[in-house]
Amino acid sequence: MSDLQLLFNADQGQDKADIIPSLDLLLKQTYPGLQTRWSRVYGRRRWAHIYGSTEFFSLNPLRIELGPNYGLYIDNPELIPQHDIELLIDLLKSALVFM
Amino acid sequence: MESLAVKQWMDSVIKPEQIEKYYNHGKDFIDEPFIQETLLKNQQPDQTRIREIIAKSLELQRLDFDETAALLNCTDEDLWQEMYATGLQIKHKVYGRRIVFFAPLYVSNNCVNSCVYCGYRHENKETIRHQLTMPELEAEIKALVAKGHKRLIMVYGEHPSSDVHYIAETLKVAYATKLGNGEIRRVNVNAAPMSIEDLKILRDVGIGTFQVFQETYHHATYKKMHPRGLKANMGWRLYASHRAMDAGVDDVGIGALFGLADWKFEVMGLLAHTIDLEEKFGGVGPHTISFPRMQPAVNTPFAQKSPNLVDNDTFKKLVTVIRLSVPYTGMILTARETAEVRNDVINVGCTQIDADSNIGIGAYSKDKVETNSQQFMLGDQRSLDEAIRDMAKMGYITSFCTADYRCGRTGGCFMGIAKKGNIHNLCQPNAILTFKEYLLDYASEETRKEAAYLIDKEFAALPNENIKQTVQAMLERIEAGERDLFL
Repeated sequence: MSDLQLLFNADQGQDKADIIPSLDLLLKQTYPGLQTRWSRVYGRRRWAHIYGSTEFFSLNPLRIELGPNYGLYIDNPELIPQHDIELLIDLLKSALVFM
Repeated sequence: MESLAVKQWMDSVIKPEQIEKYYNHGKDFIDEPFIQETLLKNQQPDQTRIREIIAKSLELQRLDFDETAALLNCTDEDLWQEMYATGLQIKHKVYGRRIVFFAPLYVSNNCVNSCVYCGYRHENKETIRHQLTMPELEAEIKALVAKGHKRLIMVYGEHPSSDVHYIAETLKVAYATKLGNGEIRRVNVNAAPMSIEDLKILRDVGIGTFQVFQETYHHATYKKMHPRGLKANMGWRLYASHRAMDAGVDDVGIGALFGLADWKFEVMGLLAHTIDLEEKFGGVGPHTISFPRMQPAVNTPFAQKSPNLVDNDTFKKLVTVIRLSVPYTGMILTARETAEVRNDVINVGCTQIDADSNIGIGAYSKDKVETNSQQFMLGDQRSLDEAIRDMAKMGYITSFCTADYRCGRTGGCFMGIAKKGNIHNLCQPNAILTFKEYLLDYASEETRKEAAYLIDKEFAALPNENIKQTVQAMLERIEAGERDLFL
């Protein structure tokens, strides 16, 4: 988790178009085997796929709304320790807050 | 005569660079000599070849031009029976035994175009023009929600009064309107071609599918049918879906209006459109294909005298070939057709139908048919409840599922799952869940009696115990009053 915090700190000023792949890579480095699907959220409903797996869909994914514009599904959230999850969500939200 | 303001608006709509950027070597994707030649050289295909093509379709592989032409030219009725059966098999393989229901909502019939076959054409003085105000739209939405609808296709004439900003406002109203347990969960749009910039406005308010029908892919016929107005520019329309994809609206619907030009040519045109989209957008073709047949319209004689009108038998054949040619794409069979035709043709692989449709402007809330504000006449007047009951008698479960585009399963993601034949692992459970909602909240007693068996039947057919347990728990939550649960 400390690696994630470092990345989020380093991300200030990074090209925002690259941030989703960067965040995804770091998530997977921190939690090997994590299955993620990133979406751009439009309006009240539309979650448009932008990055991540299109192969695997679990029955009980973790759906995370990362502010008004982005959303994330984690298909195997059990790989993330329970006490990391809230912090992780906060970090992701803060990384995407200006996007 | 159009006012100066309307003319100025019309001058600003088409952006030639947003047509030309998609050309292949300076030409659009409809290569007429090639299509004609392909149809000619694949005449009288033998049985073996047809069966090889059928086998390829069953593996969910998109057919090429030669293969599609061979199917179109088949004259052996026994082979057609095999193709009909294959269409259904493909549909079951990709989409399961569910039929997605939606309602068309005509929002505005002001139009600057002059389509020869259309009741809304600018010159038609017998059409009563109206554009819904936001309170009127809300009343329409509530009338549809009260019937149990969850998915809409909102339809707009091409006019500055119903420009992209108006359309965006109507989408916001549609998504914001609630009635009891009900709400509209996906709004698709059928509107005139737009620029990438305008399509981004629709993307940002959460459009579902952006649907533009080419009407005809035959250049000379297109020119004849669309003599004036913005729609006279065929290229602007041909690349409407490409621009939508570029704008991030990654679910697009294409279609041809059968009856304008030769039906075999139009099927080849739909295939060319699909292939061009797939080539330019990483394998992602149209989310849906529609195949409306021209219907009579008020003060529109051409609609009944076109030399290319398609009879019922040919209609079934062309729908079958589309199903086999693009096995993984959704196919929409609308209430233009009679109930009898729909009950037959749905069995060759259609995935979506509308019901209880009323295509007059503002007609749902008035609950009456207003032929003078309709674009054409409808063939199937069954209520949603009746249509659902009829589908149940045929073994189809109605789905109001809107989960895919709310879970990021759009564009390439959706297409990837569909091409592997995996979407029913998610969509079949969602059909069960949304059908349960319908039975609890909206169905007549008769429909509950006749259709409830489908919940048990489809539940039993779910692929594994994990899915069954998840769905069972969700069904119990729905019974307890929760709504809008999905996988």
